[in-house]
Amino acid sequence: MAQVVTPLDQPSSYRDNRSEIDRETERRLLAQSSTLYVGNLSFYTTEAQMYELFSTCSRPEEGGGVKRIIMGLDRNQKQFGRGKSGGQVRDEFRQEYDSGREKRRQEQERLRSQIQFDTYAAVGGLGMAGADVPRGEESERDRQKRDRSEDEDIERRDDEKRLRGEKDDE
Amino acid sequence: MNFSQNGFNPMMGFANPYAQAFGSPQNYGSPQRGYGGRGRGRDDRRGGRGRGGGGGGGGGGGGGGRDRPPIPENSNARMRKMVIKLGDDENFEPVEDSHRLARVLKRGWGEGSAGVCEGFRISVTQQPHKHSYLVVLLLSLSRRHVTTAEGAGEDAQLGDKRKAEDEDDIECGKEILEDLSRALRGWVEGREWQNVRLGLQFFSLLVPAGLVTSSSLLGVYKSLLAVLEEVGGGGDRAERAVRAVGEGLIRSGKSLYDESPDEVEGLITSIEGYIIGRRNEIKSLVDPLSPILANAEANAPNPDTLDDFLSALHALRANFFNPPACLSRHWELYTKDEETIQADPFELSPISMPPEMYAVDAYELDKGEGRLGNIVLFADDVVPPPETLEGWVLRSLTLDLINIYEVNRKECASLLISLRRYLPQNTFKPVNPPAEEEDASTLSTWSAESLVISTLLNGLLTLPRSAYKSIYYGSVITELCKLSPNTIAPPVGRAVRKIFGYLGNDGLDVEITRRVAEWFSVHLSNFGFQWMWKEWVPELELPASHPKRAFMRRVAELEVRLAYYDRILDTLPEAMKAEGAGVLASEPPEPVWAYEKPDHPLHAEAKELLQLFRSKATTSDIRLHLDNLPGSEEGISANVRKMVFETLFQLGSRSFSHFLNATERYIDTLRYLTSDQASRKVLLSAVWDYWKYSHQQKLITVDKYLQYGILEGLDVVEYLFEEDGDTEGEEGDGWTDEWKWEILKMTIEKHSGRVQAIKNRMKVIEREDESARARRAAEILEKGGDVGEGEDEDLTDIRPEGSKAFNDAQTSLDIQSTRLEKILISTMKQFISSLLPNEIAANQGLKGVLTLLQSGESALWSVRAKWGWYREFVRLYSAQLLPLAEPIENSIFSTLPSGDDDIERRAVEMVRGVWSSSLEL
Repeated sequence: MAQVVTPLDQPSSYRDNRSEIDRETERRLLAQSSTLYVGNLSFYTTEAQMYELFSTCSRPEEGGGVKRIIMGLDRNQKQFGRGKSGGQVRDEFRQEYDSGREKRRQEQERLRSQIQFDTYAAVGGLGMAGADVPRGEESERDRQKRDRSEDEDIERRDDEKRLRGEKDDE
Repeated sequence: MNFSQNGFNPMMGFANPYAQAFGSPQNYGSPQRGYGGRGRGRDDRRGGRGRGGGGGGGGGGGGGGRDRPPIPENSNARMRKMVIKLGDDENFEPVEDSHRLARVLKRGWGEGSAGVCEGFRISVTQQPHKHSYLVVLLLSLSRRHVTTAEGAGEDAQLGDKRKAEDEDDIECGKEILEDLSRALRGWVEGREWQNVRLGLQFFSLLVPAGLVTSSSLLGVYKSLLAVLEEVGGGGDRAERAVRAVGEGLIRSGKSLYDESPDEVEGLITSIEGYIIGRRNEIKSLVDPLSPILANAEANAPNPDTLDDFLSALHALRANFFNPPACLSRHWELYTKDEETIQADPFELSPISMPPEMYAVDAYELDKGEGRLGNIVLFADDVVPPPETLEGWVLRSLTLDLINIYEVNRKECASLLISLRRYLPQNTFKPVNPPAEEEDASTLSTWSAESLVISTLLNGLLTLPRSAYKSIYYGSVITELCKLSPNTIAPPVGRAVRKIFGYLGNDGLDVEITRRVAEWFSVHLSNFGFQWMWKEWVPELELPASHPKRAFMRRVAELEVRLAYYDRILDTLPEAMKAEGAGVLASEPPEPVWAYEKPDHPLHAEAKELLQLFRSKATTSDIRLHLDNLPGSEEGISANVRKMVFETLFQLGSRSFSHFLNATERYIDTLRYLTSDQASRKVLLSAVWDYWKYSHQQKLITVDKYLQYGILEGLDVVEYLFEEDGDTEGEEGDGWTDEWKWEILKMTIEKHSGRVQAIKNRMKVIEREDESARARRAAEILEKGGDVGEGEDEDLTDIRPEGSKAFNDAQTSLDIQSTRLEKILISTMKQFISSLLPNEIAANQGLKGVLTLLQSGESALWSVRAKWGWYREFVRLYSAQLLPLAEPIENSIFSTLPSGDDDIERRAVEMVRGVWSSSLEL
């Protein structure tokens, strides 16, 4: 039914320039993938909210479901939710805040200016460098090169496990 | 005829007709330019430049095409696009503009005829709202100028004159009709029922337009309905044929009846026979409103989609087969002048129905052709009811658009919002009513927006399942609200209020209630959670277990899941915020770690354990620690087990990812502590206590524990029913508030998903095996061997690894299927034993409901909710339950008491009735 309107479930035109996979392979891999990137989220979107909404898009009766949610993890803050240069920038217009965080407006202000700095002022232009958005093997290797504490090392292994996805009992 | 004669280079036009669409999809609905009727050559050059400029960014697409010589496909694409875009222009004039396009198409016919035909095929099946325009276009294409020997004026150039004659010699209309009728046969063969129905609708319009002979159309109708004569009634195809022919008759009936009244009456009679002949049992199982009545009077089901259809056809007959006024008939305005000749009407060839198919996934083919929910959401003078002729036609068109445009909810919404453009002028209430009062009586009172909302919601609320995912219907409503909040929001609100009114004694199905709550909470989350809660304040008087109260709680709970507690609390009126009002849970959905309190007997142990968890102690350390706890010499007690579970939840309480990480890190500990069913029950009770205030977290935790194989489906099923305790009171519970069903459904689907996944895997292996075998056979042939003899053994054993994978899959399929069967049977048993409890007390189970009803009291809403979920369970899983009919009959139904008194007998009959009608589904 695609001749009169453009279907919306087309793969994104976004292309990872650092990926060495050719277009055709990329297309094939994407067609098999069940990983979805969701951008433009509010700073305060929680994993439970994502779970609730995206569960309605899955087909559990065919073995589907939300297996993993990977939100950029700010290692310094040790909390899930996007922090410093997590790719989430435009939160200036938001009027409502998550429960329990209302008291932390100051912290938000600080974060926000940090994000703006990372995005607009930091070396290398847009602050995607160092963002904790999974970007495949290459960035994984990059990350290993960086210095990190032992604690982070463990976190990273957890990350890998998370990227592998959940193991079913079979 | 070649390109140069026509004076344009098709390559210069739109090499890729969708190039623009990809660039800016939102503009696709409105054409940037006309269809190039005037000054075409210049337009094309401009188009060529435009594309050159934009081509760089697009890349990929048709790279290198510019150097190639012109190829006719591009002309086809261009002309196809013209046909598809017919009528998109705001100022479109159906007659004049269609005629103008016809002239253009005729001129380019030599290069683009295939494109025009394809354009017709696409438009007929994907743009039913433009059928009337297409008829005018086709009519115009079927007319020729009278060729006079003298020709045009002396000074007309010879070339032009010859061209004009050439054009007129081609029978464009006939070519298109031949192509379309071939396509129609293909659709029937391929069981593309939606295309069949829409194609037939179009052909039916062509009879009154004089383009198709009435006798040949009758022949097609009859050949489709022949399926009703088959032994067994034709199965699924019968319904498709009945709908396609019936909707055709609505368009062509008048013309056909004038010529062959008996034949038309005959068609109506066979349709009637089919629709009336269906059994009531199936209908009552998918009836959205099925109240439990005080007396055992026959609970006649409400009319369903096909009943409505039959009433519409009766209305058609009563009106002497005149088509409804809401169908445009632009071709009647397209008069024939003296200088044109109309081609002879086309003769359609009869069609043969494909044989009945027993494929498992036949459901996919019925998308858009199934039944539609039939809940009345608006007054008859706002949305014409579907049992009227106009109501049927309008709803059917709207539904077709919703189904066709499923690929793009935004386009769907903008099309639906401009629906009135494509229908005759007085179909709907005017946007700006005229000031003159006297006209008011003749004006329509129908609301286009209400029609759209009613159709969308009924699509969402179709039982047993909607054609598309429920999120689709809601997304279209959201898009509609964004496009035109002032006209769309009011009907949405009215519909929700109407549905709310059906809750309770009218017996609105629990599954429908669930879908409404799910949709509505997401809808509100998109619009600032603004809702008129205030008008439901009086309903707070009802008992807490009443469906209306439960609905409020459910919507509020789902809203909290999409936002947070305080945010939703703020949207409620004071009366609902008050303590004990029971709309929002008394507490936010936070975890309850009871061991935090210093006076808890296990406070110290829990704290220590949490410390160990936090310091990432290994599983063996934890095990050692647990074994050495005082009192664990005899094995770990249930209390300590529960404490360990809840402390592990505490470790992972921060987010979904924290929970998964905690689970994965200590999965061995969990397994160690849940080796038997009793301890898994302790685990479930720990989940229930820890996430006392969050049904969502209960669901997520159970879901993931099933996934990791820590819990088994049977544990969950049993716990859900066992945990009911004394629910006969007036309080709401997990069944009235839907969350228990949510967990039960997830559990069943988890297991059926596994079965399905293995089946899919086996299909892949089989395919691989097959291709390996084929490869091998080819190799043997190449070597000069003979495949036919003696080599067979070689071929079967060709891929030992494949066969091994297949056998492994078969083994796990057996295991998983058995598990699923056990779960289904257990669920059935649990439902029935709670609806018909053994030690029948007067106020328990269905008997209690019926007894109270006789004294005029509607109560025991929890039992009623469970009754509703029982129906939903049987309805939803009838396909999986069917093969289990024997064990279910033997282990459950044969042991049921026949009942000591009338009430008891009726209760048993109700339960059994649902089961037996599901066998007919």
